[in-house]
Amino acid sequence: MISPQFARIIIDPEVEHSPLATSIRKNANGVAVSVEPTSEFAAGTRHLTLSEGKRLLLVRRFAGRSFKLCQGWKPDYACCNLHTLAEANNCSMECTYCILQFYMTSPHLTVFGNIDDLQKEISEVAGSAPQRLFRIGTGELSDSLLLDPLTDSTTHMVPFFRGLPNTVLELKTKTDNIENLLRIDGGERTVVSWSVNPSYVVARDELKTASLDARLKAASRVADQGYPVGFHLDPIVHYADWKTGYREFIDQLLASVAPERIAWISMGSLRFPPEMKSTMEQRFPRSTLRLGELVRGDDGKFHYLRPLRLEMYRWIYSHLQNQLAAAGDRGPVIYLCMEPPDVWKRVFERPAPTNAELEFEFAENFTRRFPRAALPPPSRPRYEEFAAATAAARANGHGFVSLESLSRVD
Amino acid sequence: MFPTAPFRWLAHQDIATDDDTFRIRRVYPDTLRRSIEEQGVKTPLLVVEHNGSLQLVSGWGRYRFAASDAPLPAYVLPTSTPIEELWDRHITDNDRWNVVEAARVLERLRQLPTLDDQCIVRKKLPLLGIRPANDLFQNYLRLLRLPQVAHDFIERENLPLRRASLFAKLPATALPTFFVHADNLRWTLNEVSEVLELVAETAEREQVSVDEILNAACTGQDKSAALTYLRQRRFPELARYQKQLAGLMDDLNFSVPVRVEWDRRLEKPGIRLIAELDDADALQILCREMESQHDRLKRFFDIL
Repeated sequence: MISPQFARIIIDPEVEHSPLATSIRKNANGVAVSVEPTSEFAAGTRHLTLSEGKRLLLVRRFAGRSFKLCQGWKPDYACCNLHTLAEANNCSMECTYCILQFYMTSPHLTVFGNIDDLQKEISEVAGSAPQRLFRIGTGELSDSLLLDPLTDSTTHMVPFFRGLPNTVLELKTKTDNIENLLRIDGGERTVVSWSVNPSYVVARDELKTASLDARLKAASRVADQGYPVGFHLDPIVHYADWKTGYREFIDQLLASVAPERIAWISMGSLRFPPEMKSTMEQRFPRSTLRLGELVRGDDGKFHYLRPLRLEMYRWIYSHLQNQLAAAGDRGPVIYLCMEPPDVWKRVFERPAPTNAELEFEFAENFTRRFPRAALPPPSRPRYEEFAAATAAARANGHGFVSLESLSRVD
Repeated sequence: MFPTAPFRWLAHQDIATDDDTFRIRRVYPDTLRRSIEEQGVKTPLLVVEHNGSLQLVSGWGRYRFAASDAPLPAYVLPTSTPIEELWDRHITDNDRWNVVEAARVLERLRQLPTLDDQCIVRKKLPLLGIRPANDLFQNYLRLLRLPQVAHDFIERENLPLRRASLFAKLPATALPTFFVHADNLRWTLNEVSEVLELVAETAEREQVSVDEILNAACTGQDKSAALTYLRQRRFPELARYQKQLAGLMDDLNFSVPVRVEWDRRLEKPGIRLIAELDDADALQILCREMESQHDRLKRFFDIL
């Protein structure tokens, strides 16, 4: 189990009676927990280094809108229209390439205690478009399961999602913190997904995370428990013996979980804002990721050279395809994250899907392969309308889902 | 922060400078020297009474450039003034500290028994115009490990922290060689930054010495060749792809003038063919030749 080493936990009076706060007090295991206004602590941690800040957990109310479209979206990318839910901010694990070390303005971890407000928000949006499958991930600004042994969040969220007619929760993690999940029936409405890499990369650049073996063992256990499983091969890292490393890793991955239980597999290559390079260098001087042949892409981020990226994607996809061939149409959706359509075309050797086609493919594949989820049968024309509504929501500049725009098409 | 009491006029010799605890600045702008030579000292110095003498706290440049027979305006602080307060006044009396000076100030503050690092970060960094953050504090202190030759360069060019920190990427022993080459090849500031990164990262990638890379790149080369060598050595795959594209371009043999371009970062897909066409016949010829060269043109996409 991966446990953050907190020195202190502060619960805001606004959420001190919330179920999460109750669990935290129960599971704190000797860590000092106090109830105090968190706003002054939040401001007072800005001077701390990231490593220092990660020893403090604040539990407070989320005041804004927690339910958003995935912020990784760019107009030039083919995008799967994942939605995200901010349950927590920041992470105590230390991946050398993690965008949070650049993105977060405060170094401490935060958990949002007003889980009922988050759930209400989801119910409203999902209810406004009942024919649409909303895939909702909580692993964007934190790890979905890192704090679960402390907060018992999944014991509230998994049953909640099971009770909605048209949503799937995606819990994305690099831990093996699955004990709570094993005690709950997710009804195939929760996909537990792992961000994975060959052991060579995990050991060098995914510090304080669960080992690859532990992650895959956990994946196998939740799959046996009935959960669909996802894998994110992201970031794919180029190193001297990468083909051997990724071949062995994929073989190990597919030996752990039957293809029929894998909902989706994503691929994304290493990318980060150039400004993050000096942070990586200072915090992780022994990591060699920043020494790769990285060039600034059209999105302003450092990427591997395009030919190198294509070579890796094509090689990995080809190996995945070979291994998954026997599963036929019972296999997972394989897709790229944060790549433009021409890269899709070169990797999959077919025209890149539109956002509507991709979202529909997810819905169709999942609905057909995981019947216990009892999701509404997807209709392709409706997904064109949903995608248009999503594009309109994105065009409004802040990426929130507009209830009005969704209800117009349903 | 400044004393409200009126300043006094002191003779040059009345001000003691033997204790250089507060002496931080080593490089002064010519404008200061010229201004003082022409108009005298306008801004009062800060001195503190100490063992019967008046020790200079702030205004070392003003003191240095003032005529020795000219009286100097100075605020005189009582001997009871706590040393931390003297530092606060010294810091705020001088704006635009360069990054090495700021590092020296921080190092001196660390020697005060009343201050710990956290206190310096929270209270003193803002006085220096620096965001109060532990990692920034450490970055400034790291500058002090650089050799004098690097300090001289950073101060002379008044580099920001980000650029100054690049010198810490090279071993201190390699910096004198670096500056010899930088001087010989007349690198601009941007080129200095680029070369520091290229050399440091190549040395780390290849596990070779910085001197070996610098000498291979710069000895007997002009600036352009040295930079090309360093870029190609740091990005060998990129260089290889670019060479392949250039080779393919040479193979194309159109009878009308055609220039082939590609994104040098190999990031954007596709190539651009720019043709100079005099008339419709030339267009027809080009279309025919493009059709016949189709396979060669297509090979670009095996690389891009």
